Amino acid sequence: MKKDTEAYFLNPPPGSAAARARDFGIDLTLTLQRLRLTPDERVRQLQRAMFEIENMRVDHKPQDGKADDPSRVDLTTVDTTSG
Amino acid sequence: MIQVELTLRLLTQHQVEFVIVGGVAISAHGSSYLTYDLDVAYARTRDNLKRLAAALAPYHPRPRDFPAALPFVWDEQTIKQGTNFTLTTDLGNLDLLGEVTGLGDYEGVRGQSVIMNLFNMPCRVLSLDALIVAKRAAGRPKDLLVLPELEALREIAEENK
Repeated sequence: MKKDTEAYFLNPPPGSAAARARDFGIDLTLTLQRLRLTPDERVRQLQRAMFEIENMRVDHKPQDGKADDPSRVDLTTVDTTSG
Repeated sequence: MIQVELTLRLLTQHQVEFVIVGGVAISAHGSSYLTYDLDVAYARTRDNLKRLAAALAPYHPRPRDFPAALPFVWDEQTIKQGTNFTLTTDLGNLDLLGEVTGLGDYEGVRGQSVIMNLFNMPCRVLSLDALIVAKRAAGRPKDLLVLPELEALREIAEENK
């Protein structure tokens, strides 16, 4: 990656599109991470992220059969059964 | 969640003419935007409708907004009678676009695409410039949210030419 690309995203020049993106709230360090990859690597990474999120969603699906509600997700489960 | 590689391989093996647009295209260009479906523009020639119908038929495509009890037949005729389809399939959610807002029909979309090697396959992907035009034209809040990052990506790409 060209050195000026790193500088562009880490220290956006005033008035640049990167500065506007940063001010909008975009984390440009993530963008820079993505740009270090090839397009193939980026899409493969996206696919892995999709799988991981889907696995988390399935793992934490409420047992009562009610619709998914993020506020009801409890990442700590306690097994109170004996023996 | 869409199985991107399997879907692209399926379309490619069936020689379907398509261009990746939407979130996967944005991601391919370097955005950190996360998407869960695959959007493709497709050619509406008779032969391509046949190939598209055949490619997806084994995976039970069905409009996502259809009631479960409503019969739906996926074939060339069905595709011909519609333009854009938001489908659920056995591979995940797939959107087929005969037209892209701001860009027009497939020929217009294809003319603004680039070829990227994805999963060891040459795939047409909408260009950054065209993605920005399409997102501006769509104008929904979710489309406008990605514009600042896309514009930054385009600016540095222009400087590095």
